[in-house]
Amino acid sequence: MAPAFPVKNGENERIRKKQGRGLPMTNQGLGTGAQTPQRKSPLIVHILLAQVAVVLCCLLTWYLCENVVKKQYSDATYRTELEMVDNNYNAMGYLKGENGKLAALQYDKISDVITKKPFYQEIVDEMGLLHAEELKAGRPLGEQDLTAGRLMERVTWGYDEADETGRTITIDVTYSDPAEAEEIGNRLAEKLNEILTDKSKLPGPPINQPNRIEHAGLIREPVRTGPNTLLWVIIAGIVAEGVFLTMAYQTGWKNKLTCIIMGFANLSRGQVLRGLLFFLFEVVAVGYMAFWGVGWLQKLPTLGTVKTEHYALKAGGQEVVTYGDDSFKILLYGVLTIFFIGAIIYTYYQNVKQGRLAAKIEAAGKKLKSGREDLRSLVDDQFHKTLLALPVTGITVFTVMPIIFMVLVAFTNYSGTFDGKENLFTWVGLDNFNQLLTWTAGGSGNKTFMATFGEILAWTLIWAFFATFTNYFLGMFVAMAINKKGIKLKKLWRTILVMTIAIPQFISLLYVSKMFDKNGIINSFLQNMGWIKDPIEFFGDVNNPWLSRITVIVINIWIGIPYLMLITTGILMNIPADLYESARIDGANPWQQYTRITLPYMLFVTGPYLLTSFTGNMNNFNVIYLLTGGAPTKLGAYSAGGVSAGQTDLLITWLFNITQGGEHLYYQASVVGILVFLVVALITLLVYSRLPSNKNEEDFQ
Amino acid sequence: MSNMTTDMASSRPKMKQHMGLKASRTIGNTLIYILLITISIIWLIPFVFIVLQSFRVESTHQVGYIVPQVWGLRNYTELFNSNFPKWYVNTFITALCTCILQTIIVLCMSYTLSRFRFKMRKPLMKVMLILGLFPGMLSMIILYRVLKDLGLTQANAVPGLILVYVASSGMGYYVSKGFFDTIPKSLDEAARIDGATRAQVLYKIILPLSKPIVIYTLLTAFMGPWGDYVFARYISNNTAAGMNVAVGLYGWLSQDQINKKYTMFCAGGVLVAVPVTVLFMCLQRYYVEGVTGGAVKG
Repeated sequence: MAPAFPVKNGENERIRKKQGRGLPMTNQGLGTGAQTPQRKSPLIVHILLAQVAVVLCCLLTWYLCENVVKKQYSDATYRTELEMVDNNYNAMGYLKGENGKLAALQYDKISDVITKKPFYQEIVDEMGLLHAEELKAGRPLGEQDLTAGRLMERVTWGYDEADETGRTITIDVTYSDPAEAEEIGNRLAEKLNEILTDKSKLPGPPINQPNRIEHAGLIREPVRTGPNTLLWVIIAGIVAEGVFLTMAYQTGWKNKLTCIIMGFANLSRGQVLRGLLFFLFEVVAVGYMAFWGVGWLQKLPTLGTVKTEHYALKAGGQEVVTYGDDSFKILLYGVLTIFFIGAIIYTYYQNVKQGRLAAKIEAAGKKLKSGREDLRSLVDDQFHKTLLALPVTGITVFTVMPIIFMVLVAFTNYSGTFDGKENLFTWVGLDNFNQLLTWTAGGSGNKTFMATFGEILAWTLIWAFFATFTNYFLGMFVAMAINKKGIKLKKLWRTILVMTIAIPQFISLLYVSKMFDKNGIINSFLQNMGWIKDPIEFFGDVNNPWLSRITVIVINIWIGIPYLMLITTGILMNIPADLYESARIDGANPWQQYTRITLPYMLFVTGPYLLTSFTGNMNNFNVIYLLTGGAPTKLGAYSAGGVSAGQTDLLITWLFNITQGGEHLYYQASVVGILVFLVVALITLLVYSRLPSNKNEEDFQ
Repeated sequence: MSNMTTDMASSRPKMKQHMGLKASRTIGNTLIYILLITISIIWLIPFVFIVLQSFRVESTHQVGYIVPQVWGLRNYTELFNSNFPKWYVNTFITALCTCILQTIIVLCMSYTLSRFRFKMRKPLMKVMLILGLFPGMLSMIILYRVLKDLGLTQANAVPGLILVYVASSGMGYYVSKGFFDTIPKSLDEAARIDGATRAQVLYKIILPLSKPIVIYTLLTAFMGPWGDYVFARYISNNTAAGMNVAVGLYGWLSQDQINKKYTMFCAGGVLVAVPVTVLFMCLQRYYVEGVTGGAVKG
């Protein structure tokens, strides 16, 4: 492991000098007239020392968890809330008792303090019975913390800024003992209740009619979960093991120290920029993991335990909500934290690697890259890193993260009911996938999930096939017609078709769908001509789903031909003309020329396009959703939270309806999404490798 | 033109068949003209209808005739009393910001993948290929919740929407990578030998040559958000102030609104379609280049 390269004497002396000052981990065995940087003591000693350090780290973590951190979680938090409504019903007061001492007493206007002092005094006196010394500090009430900023934070609703009718009072109190907190809270609530019932005690002065207290009472904040000592000790153990083992394998005190202080190896050798970046990363990483990261990881297995509670206040009966855990956030930040851990490990590896590299370069007597050179390389040798930074970050955050999250959702019961806030959601294992195994319905007459999925999948594949190939062949036909020799105004015909590409699909599709409506233009026209008596329900006939399906495919031709015409025109022109010439001399008719020359060439060149077009059509949300919205709705179809599948629904529109309508069955949508991915991936995998035009991309260069 | 001459030359030896050939060609061409005229009518007719109905004053319902009995601009003036101007501005800002930012991102991505050979290149392309197979709609569930916590949904949908469109746009690098692949690498190498940095190669050599692909990317990146429905629907979540034109106008065709708003939908549709169509027709050349190039190279 130890790199064997010569080191200048000066460097070695520096090592010895520093060793003399006594570095805890590395001073054993080093420093007795060493000529090479090779380890002076056997590796095993370093490893054993590392184990000692690991044990110490675990013990320290255990001590900190049990004796320092847990204390902060032991106090239950209580709040006393009081809401006042003035004569306009648009203002509130807010009395808050939390955690012990009287921290602040706020009024929104000085005049209120003067006019209502007796009233507030009464309340504060009540609290003051327990905290007399605080109140006797001599400061007049209401003159502390009169900052507007804090005030507005407290007034969360109902405060009308314009006419300044808000009346706000906030008292922060700290209790060291839960029992005491409860007692104060209850006494306060009683006092407020008394004021509520005795109107004469209401604060004045009345303008039109007296202000009144709407409600008051004690709110118990949900108990926060303290750190799980075992988890912390395990994590500390793993981290320490990694760090100290890495350290044991490094040589030279700079490189050893860089295992604890990231970037030190670079920093101490004058590579300030690199060193500082590593060090900054370490600060952020340790800070995040200690204060938030491990907390999220700890909750990840359960997705939260503290429930949200609704209850009425003691006086006035106002319903109050105290929010507990949020499963959604736990899952999200849990996944983020795992990602971040990956990033930490990678950066740490780079840190150690950079340290070794720097030592090697230094030992070889070469100059290390300066920060300026590092920056310059970002627009030169390493320019691709600069260019990719933004796109790759965007894709990671907005595509990779959501996909991982949604795949995980398939293993939970996340839905509109179990939204993670009002009702926590949790892991359900493979329950959501078990429904894929049942084909026959349980007797209610509705189809099972799998049966409906199968039917929609079948239609999706039929749709994708016809949508792709009708467009392809008809588009090619139109392109060939326009390309034909002797046809004039080629540009005009093309322009007319191309123009329709520009018009947003939602306009054209919505309009066309209305044209085919029961009382749309098409039906009116057919009726006026006397060809039909009753209007044809193109998209609404439950008994005739194929009418809707064929109509959709036909309209899709209207959408797709211009695009295909454009694509094929260019390629058709590229077919060597002498191929046709010799075919003609051999006596081939136009049909033979088409099947023997044009088509094989086209299929060869557009193979990949056909594949992407097929999968694109499988997920063609716009055409189906804007034209039919999935109608006609299938009777007796599996209904996912009140959203039944329509007969023109593709998997993708079904998925959309599941997430939108009824009960928002996100887990169901997630299962559908995963299945869609599997189907599309399977098709891509099977077809792509067989494409004749699957060329080596370097060929283009 | 050269086609014509070769055509003449090849037909000269077959003078005997000439008359017959000419007749059958004339018939064939006539049939094609009839076909092309029919196609043009079918393709243009819905748009003609929309324009005509947008000027209809006598009724706001769907009616069985096309040409208005009473012409007028009432539908257009009514638009200004509705949420339409707000939606229009929302859409315009979204499309403009998206088209600029997305172009930058797409060009960064495609240029890098075309020109640089680095260790993670192939894995990166493979990962993006696989990611592209996931239905993008699925991620909207989480993105909506996250953006909502950031306050970027509903009434503030515009920045949220821009973020959603732009952030993942790097995955659509295929067409422009295909374009960059066609620019000879020897140009880069010559410049590098002359002492240019990689960044200078991009700004001074490649970008001036890339006008078609830049315009193509700008154009498609503008048209995407201009007509997008599904993401805008998720992010605006039934809040009129945050909708774009697609979501807003879709609502006008719902069962309870269609009888009052049908002609207004047509007027709104015309106002949405005209600018983007004009823009498109002006830049049509670049679009055609991009589409044909992109399809061949996959």
